[in-house]
Amino acid sequence: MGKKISRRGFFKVAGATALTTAVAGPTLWVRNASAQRKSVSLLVNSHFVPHFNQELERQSAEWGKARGVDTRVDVIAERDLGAKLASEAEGRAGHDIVVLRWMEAPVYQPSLVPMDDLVQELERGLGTFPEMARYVCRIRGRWASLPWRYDSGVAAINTEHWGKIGLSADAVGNLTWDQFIDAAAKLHANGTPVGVAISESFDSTHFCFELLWSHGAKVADDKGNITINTKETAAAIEVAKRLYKFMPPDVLAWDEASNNRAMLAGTCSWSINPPSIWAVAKRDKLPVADKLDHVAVPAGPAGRFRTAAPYSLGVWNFSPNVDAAKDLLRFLMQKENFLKQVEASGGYNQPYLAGHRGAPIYQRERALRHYEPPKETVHAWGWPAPASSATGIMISLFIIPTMFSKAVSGEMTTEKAIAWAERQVTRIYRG
Amino acid sequence: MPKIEADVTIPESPGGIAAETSLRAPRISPWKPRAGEERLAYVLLAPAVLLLASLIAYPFLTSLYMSLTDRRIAMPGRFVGLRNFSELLLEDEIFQQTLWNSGLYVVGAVGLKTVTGLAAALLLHGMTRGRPVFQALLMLPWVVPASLSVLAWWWMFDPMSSVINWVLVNLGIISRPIRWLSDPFWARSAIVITNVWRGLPFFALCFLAGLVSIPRELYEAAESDGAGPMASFWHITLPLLRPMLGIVILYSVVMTIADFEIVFLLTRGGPRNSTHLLGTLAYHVGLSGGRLGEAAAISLFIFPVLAVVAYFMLRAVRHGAEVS
Repeated sequence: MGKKISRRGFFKVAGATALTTAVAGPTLWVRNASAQRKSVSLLVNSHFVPHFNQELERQSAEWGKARGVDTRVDVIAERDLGAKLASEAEGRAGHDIVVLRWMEAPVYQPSLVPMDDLVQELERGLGTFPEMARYVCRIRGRWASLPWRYDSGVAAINTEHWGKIGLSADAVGNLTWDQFIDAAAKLHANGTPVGVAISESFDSTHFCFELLWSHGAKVADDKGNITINTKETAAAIEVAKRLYKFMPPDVLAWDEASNNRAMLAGTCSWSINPPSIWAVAKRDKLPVADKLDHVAVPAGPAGRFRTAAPYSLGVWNFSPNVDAAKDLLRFLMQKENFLKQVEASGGYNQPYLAGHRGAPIYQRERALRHYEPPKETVHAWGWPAPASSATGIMISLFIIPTMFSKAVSGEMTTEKAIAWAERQVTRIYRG
Repeated sequence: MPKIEADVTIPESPGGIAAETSLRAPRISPWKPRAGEERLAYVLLAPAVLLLASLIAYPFLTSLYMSLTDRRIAMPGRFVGLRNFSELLLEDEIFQQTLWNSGLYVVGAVGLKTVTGLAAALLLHGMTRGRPVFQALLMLPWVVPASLSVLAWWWMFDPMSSVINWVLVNLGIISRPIRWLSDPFWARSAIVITNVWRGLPFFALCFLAGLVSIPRELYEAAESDGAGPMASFWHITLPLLRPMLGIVILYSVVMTIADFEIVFLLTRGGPRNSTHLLGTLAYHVGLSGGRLGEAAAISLFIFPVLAVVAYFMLRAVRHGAEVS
């Protein structure tokens, strides 16, 4: 039997051990950490075409290997990204580089390193960023984040169904909304209706903004003055109401995947979506793949528009590796690397810069010939209202799709639905 | 239970000194801690108090303060008093609708869970064979991760491939599919059904524990006095279950009103904001829009209401315990 330990002795030893650990532990840990290799981490959302994430990891690793830097790409679900960004910005700790969507660059601008130097460098070699990129990323005269890519809401069609009513793909891409509604009636009678979400979904955001802009309607002007309560907005809603009669009633509950499933099942003849429907059909060798095509969304009195969901990359200003992070961004934006990203995304990712255009996939794939470069006028969701947290909340709360939904479902008259939206938007922008 | 005052005897004495002494050191105490032991007790309690303070009090007070500011993500805010609350209540129609939604959701879900949970508990209590098996099966909705089970429900309510609609149409109960997620009434029903499905096991098992603790002699005595099953239920089961009912309902009201994942995964607050709860609205305003002050006000709005509910519920529980 060993020496008996008294209670007092036990407490003395335990206390001394705890004190030593508390004092020496952090010192040893810090020394150990500083001796480690430099590392750069990147947080991105899970891409609709998973192969893109793999390519991004591969390119990051390639850069890390060349620079002697450890890289890590963390991929999280799209819907979790907002909470993750908020927690990192509030805690001032996390990844070095983060992907920013829609209005997240204006929201997080105080926590981001300005990208002016990198933007100027890229613009010298690849051409200037278009107005759409400036709208979302250039905040109060400085580049809050680096415009990376966008995807856009083009019309995905089933050419077989349209062929039965005597319209080719190119003809569908030239329709006006009035002509489109006539065609939608025939397609509905054939049991192959058109369908687009009028619900709390981003596909719906694409549709509603395209419809509004094509009628000359805008939620707010570039000063933030609310301009939604106009006859142009009413005209856009009336078009949606007429169109809704020929769509499945459940479009009021469709989510991002609903139109994909309907198109892939071959029951739907037209919807608004980036080309992920076609990409999945092609990947899985579905019979419908050869029948799918992409064309422009119908035009209204004010023209033919396309909405963009913009993505940019930001570097936190609390990152200990700002220079290395910027160097990784520089590498990812090199032409050959960007084109590989476009290829890996199945053409889903569209470039901002003229120097990034001409990815082989857009020439090779018949179904993508109208997707990139767009012939329509392209704007980011919310345009021309100032890029701000208010515009972000308006998009996030789906105020505009809800306005359309209230009117087409009959819950409110067109005038009341517009007045409802005006009150919501006014409060959001005033706050 | 005997009252404590009954054990404190105050001897009658002219000067009242003995009485005073007796009050200061009542004889009921079987063990009087020494000063050192009392200090040790505080030391031993300190970690738990610190843990509670850091995990509950600090976040609560922080969000309380935040709700009184116009704070945005990663930016300092200005103190704005009760402006966030007043604007939400008086001007924000989506928030007003969210309050209404939350009330409907809590009343519908907790009401249904109470009725079905009690029915399930009574059935289980009356079973003579196979009770452990059914108890284990009943636990399933509770142990399956919420995200998975809600996704399964989402498939079942899916507008295009709803198995529920398929069954109802094929049984001839309905002629056309129910618009589960696109109609406000049915969307609200869908989130209530999903919540009831998830919460039923908790209610049933708690009520079963309460039923088991009721002495059988009471039922035997009632039966010999000619009481039927309904009379026994109303006059024995329900009064004696009251403390358990109170606690379970209170707990469920708090958890249901703070629900997030069912709405977030099933409807995203739609259609037309008809299923937004305080948590999902706060998420959109705070995390997507970056307005932390406003989001904190949204999430704290229900706190005073819950505090009042908790007070009355616990008072009722205490009263029930005294009755039992």
